[in-house]
Order: sequence, then structure tokens, then C-alpha cells
Amino acid sequence: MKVAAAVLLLLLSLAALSASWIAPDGGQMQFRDHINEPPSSQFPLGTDPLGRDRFARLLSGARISLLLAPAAALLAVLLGAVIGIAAGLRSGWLAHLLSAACDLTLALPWFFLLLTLRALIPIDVAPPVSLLVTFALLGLLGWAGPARVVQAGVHLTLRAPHILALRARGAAPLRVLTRHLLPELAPLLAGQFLALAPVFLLAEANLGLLGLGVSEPMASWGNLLKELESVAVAGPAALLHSWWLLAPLAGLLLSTGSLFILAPREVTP
Amino acid sequence: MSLVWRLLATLAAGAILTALLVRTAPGYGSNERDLDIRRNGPASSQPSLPWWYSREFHAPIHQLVAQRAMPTALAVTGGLALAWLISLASALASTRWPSRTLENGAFAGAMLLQCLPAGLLALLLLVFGFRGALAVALALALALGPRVWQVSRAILAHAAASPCLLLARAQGFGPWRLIARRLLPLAAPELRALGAVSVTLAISLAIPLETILDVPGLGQLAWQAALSRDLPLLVQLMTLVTLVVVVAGELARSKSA
Repeated sequence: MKVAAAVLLLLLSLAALSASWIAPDGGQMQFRDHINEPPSSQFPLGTDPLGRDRFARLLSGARISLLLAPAAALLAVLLGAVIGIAAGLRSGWLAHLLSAACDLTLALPWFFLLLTLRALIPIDVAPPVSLLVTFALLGLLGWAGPARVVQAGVHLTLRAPHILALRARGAAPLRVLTRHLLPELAPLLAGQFLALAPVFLLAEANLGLLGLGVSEPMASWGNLLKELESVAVAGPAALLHSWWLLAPLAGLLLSTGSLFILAPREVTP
Repeated sequence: MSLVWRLLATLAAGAILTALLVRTAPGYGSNERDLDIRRNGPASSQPSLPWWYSREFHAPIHQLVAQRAMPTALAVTGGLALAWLISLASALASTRWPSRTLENGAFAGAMLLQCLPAGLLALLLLVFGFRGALAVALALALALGPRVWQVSRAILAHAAASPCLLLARAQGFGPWRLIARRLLPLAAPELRALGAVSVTLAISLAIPLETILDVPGLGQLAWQAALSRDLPLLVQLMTLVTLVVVVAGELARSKSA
């Protein structure tokens, strides 16, 4: 199962990486004679109301979603690791402060916080900046979970007999950290990364559906899904008739599903 | 830290954050008209509004919250109740009658639902003709149910393997008595903590669900505030929901203590 998920994810990533070869314009070129067309040999998923190739936009969106959601997860895990290790190694006011910050961040309804911080960005910001800001915010807001896990991991590792023996023999704290603590924490961090990446993919999709994610004309799976709104009120028949609008959903399902399968069961949300 | 101190600290943090964000926000003290050179006429100047006033709705924030709180409260309560009812019942059933086939099927279903963004669940409900607060509650149950099921199943399975359960079984407790008298009380503290987490999640999910299903609740208000960069409204909404979450967490903790 895990091998199949890894292969699927690899294939999706390869498709996303080939986007710049298939659609060098990032799916932004308008074909004004082909507005809102159904799938054809020229446009495998049809064109949108602005005459843009949906297939090219899907691949371009895959590149953005599949590259930046893991990047945001990596940022969150790195931040969480630094804060968790600091809170786990130190005692006293610093550990208490970091723990309290972690508790507060975990208690906050994070989608509200995300909206608040997203709203701080000026309206007229350039699309690439909005793209980076969206994913940077996801990364910056996701540190608390990994930090809590890493802090617990540090406490546990520091009580392990071989670490106690090392410390008793006077090993330098930096050596204990780099040679013993970090390698022991690596599987924890990898698990947290695999658990956060699909969560961030879904968060971006939610933001895109609300019109607050990656801004036009750039494509992401989130803002491509927004097109479904136009057929949603017309009922199931209209949705089936426009089945090609579900293509970003298929991409999202396959990638998040693969990531959830790859994540250890203990950290799957 | 006592509940009162936590509430006061949250309120103080919210107030400071509101003031800070309002003061440092781009375009503070000016409106869109002032920023747009084409519409920047002499009649466009507007007096600056107090911090408890919404820039977008031109109304006191407490009034807006009072108007919008009820649909959100109903939808979140309904969604949480539905999610917990189904999840706990199926988790108890899988503890009572373990079956690998059912377990794998339920796991696959839960995984599939977790791979769908909440906003998309709302859209799918819209496709099938669901509208209003009921649809929000249903979408919340679909989004939260799998997570609650997964964690509650693990909690109950762990509790079911404890020695006191084995002893009760050996003493001849019937299956329902075992669940009601031993299993649930044993797992209650962890289930309560999960309950507090599910409240936080439900409140967060209310934003995309209410927006897409067009329910005039606090979630939709937050989205409108975010679109129009109404920072005082957004920050005060966040403070309010944080207070609700802190109270829920404290209640769960105090019952567990």
C-alpha cells in the first residue's frame, strides 16, 4: 500500500514538473476563439470562461500545490523542531514560555487566524507574492503540533539509558544534540512532515474555494475547484455533464490520500 | 492557571492584538476611496471609526455578532452532536464486535472523507440540494466524524484492553453494562479532551461551510471581513471564538481533574 502511494505521488510530482514543458505559459494563455469549451483533442479538459486550457492549468496548479504545500510543511516542521528542542532541552522560564505559546497556538481556531493574517496582506499584491504569502502563513501557523511532539520526544530521549550514560561521561551538549538527539528525532519529524503536507494541501484548497488563496491568474488546485461553484446550484446532472471540472478534485484526492497512507498511523490526523 | 486568569489573558491578548493590527494595518485611517485616485474626490473623506465598529458593515461589532451567533451556534452544535453520535456509536460497535473487514471499510471511508476539503463537502451538499444551517451541520459531521471516529476508536480500544475491563468481564458483566459502567468512564477524560479539540475544529470549519452554503453566521462574517480587510471585526471575532474554545478546553479539563 505504501509503495503504491509513493509511486502515485512520484507520478503526480513528475506530471507537475512536466507542466512547464507542456504549458510553458503556466496555463495563462487565452484562446479567445475557444471560450468555455468541453474537452476536445486540442484541450483534453476543455477551456475555462476566459478561454484558458484547463489541462495546462491543472498541471500548473499541481506544480504549485504539490511543491509549496510540502515546502510549507517543511517550514512548520523545522520551526517546530527548533522550538520543541529548545523547550525540551531547557527548563525554567524559557521552557514554560515556549510551552504556553505552543498551548495557545494549538487552542486557537487556526482558520480564523489564517484569515486574519491573510487579510493583513494588501489587496493589490502581485500574484506570486500572494502565492508565497499563502504558503508561508500555512508554514508559520503549523509549528505548534510538531513542537509539542518534538518536546515530548526530547524529554523521552534525554531519559534513555544511553543518553544518561553519555551525559554522565561529560559529553558536550552540542554533541549529544547532533549525534544522538537529532537522529532519534528524525523519524518523528518525518512523520510530522507527512501528516502536515496533506493538511496544508487541503487548507490551500479551502482558501482557494473562498477566493482567499493563490490569486488569479495563477492556478492552484484550490482556485481551480472554485469553478465547481458555477454548476453546484444546477444539481447533480449538471455536475456529471461537466465532469471535467472534477479533475482538480481527483488530483487532490490522489495526492492527499497518498500522503495520508505514507504517514505513520499514529500521526494521521 | 485558573479559568478566570486564562479568560482574562485571552481577552487582554485579543485587545492588544486588535489595537496593534488596526494601527499597523495598511491604509489605517483611510478607506478604499482615498487609495483609488479615480474615486479620490473631496467628498470621500470619512471620519475614523472606533475600534468596536466594523469598517465594512458600518455597525457596532457586538451587534453584528449578536445577529450572526445563533446560526453558527445551531450549526456547530448540530454538526458536533451528529459527528459524535455516529463516530462514538461506530467506535463502540467496532470495540464490541471487532471485524477486520468492517474496520478496513470504515478506515477507507474515513480516509476518503479526510482527503476532501471541507469547502468541497459543502459544494457537494449544495449539488444535492442541501441548504441552510442543516447543510452546514451535515457537512461538519462529514468533515469531523472521521477524525473523531479514528481517535475515539483508538481511545476505546486502549481502554478495552485495560486490566479492570478484563476483571469486570471475568466478574460476569454483560456487554452493555461493561460499556456503560466500565469502558466509557475509563475513556471519559481522553474523550472529553477530544471533545474540546473537536469544538476548535468545528468552529474553524464553520468559515468555509457557512460561506459556501450561504448561512449568515459568524464564519461567513469572518470571510466577509477578510475579503474587505475589516481587521477590527476579524480580530474581535477571533478573540471571541478563542474564548469559546478556551472555555470548552477548560470545561473538559476541569471535568477530567
